[in-house]
Amino acid sequence: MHLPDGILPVSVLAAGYAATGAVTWYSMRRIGREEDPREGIPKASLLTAAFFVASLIHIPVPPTSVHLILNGLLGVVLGWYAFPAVLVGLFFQAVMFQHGGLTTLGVNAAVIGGPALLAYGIFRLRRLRPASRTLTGVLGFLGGAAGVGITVLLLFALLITTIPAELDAAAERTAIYALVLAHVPLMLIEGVFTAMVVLFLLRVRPELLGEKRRPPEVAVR
Amino acid sequence: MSRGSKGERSGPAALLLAFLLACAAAALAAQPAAAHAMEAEQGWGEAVEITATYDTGDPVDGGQVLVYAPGGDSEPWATGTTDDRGRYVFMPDASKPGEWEIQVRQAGHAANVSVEVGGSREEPGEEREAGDEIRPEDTDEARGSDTLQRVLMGAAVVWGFIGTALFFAGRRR
Repeated sequence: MHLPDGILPVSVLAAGYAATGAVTWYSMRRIGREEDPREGIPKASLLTAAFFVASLIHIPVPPTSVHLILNGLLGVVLGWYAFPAVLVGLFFQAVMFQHGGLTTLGVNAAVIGGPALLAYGIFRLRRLRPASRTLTGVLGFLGGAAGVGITVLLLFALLITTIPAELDAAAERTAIYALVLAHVPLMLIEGVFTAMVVLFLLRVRPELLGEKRRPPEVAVR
Repeated sequence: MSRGSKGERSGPAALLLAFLLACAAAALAAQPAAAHAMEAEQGWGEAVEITATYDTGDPVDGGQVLVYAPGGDSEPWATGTTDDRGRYVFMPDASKPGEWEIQVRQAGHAANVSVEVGGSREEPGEEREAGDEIRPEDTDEARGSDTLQRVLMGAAVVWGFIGTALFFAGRRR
């Protein structure tokens, strides 16, 4: 669900770019403050690839179909790297597949990347009981579902408030409602998928999830 | 027997009455029709057919169509709705030659097409996907090679990401 060129007013497009610029800057600052900012790049790059391809995978939700977004997964696994990852993924989707558009890149990145950071916030509640598989699974589900859910709510608000006068507003609203409802199953699907991924990572590479547990003074160089 | 003969006699009378009633009804019915005399003229012209599909191949049923005449008018020249096969047909005003812009929209999805009207050649109709996408205005001759091209481009980008990952993973060691 990416907004294409030519349907949003210019003021919204500008606001989207402004928001995306601000969040990207802040994310970069947070990444730069990490112990070794390069350490997260391989993980981020691979998940960007997954995000880039995911939008081509359509899931039939009668009477329509929706495609995977995976922004919740990116947020949960990547943390602050998720926003730049979403931005880069969306850029390549727009350039390669004309999926979304370059004028709407700012809006799309804000609407998809913002909820990814929110999913990260949810998943960080894991600190309460880091060893608990149940808590990890539940938070993974919530993060994955919230990524899609908040994105769809933001898009819904954006579309409903920018229906141009020359359209039949009632018919357009009906179509928007149908689109939003079609994303409810996707929330569940992405929630379950994200939970599966984090449980898998917890078993094989737990260090890929969340904060480093070694305290700085132990890291001898 | 006498009842029967009476019945036979009343038969033609009833028929006559029915006939008169029918005439009156017809006259009454004809009255309003005459007041709304209608004429139809026929003419021929070239029409533009738009077919909008999502990138899954599903037609855009009930998509809203906005047709803009050339000349930069911000008001649509015509509006309409695609049918259940995603089609919409309109007849452009031949006195306005130039690029006609057509936009099909549905719930945040949109596709733009432009059709050249007038001049030597008129494009018979164009097909654009409405998925989340707008394609460049003049590339969709061959759908097959298009798909292959997209797969290759996608694979190239994915390989770029994997390469980046390997590069930074290698540096770490």
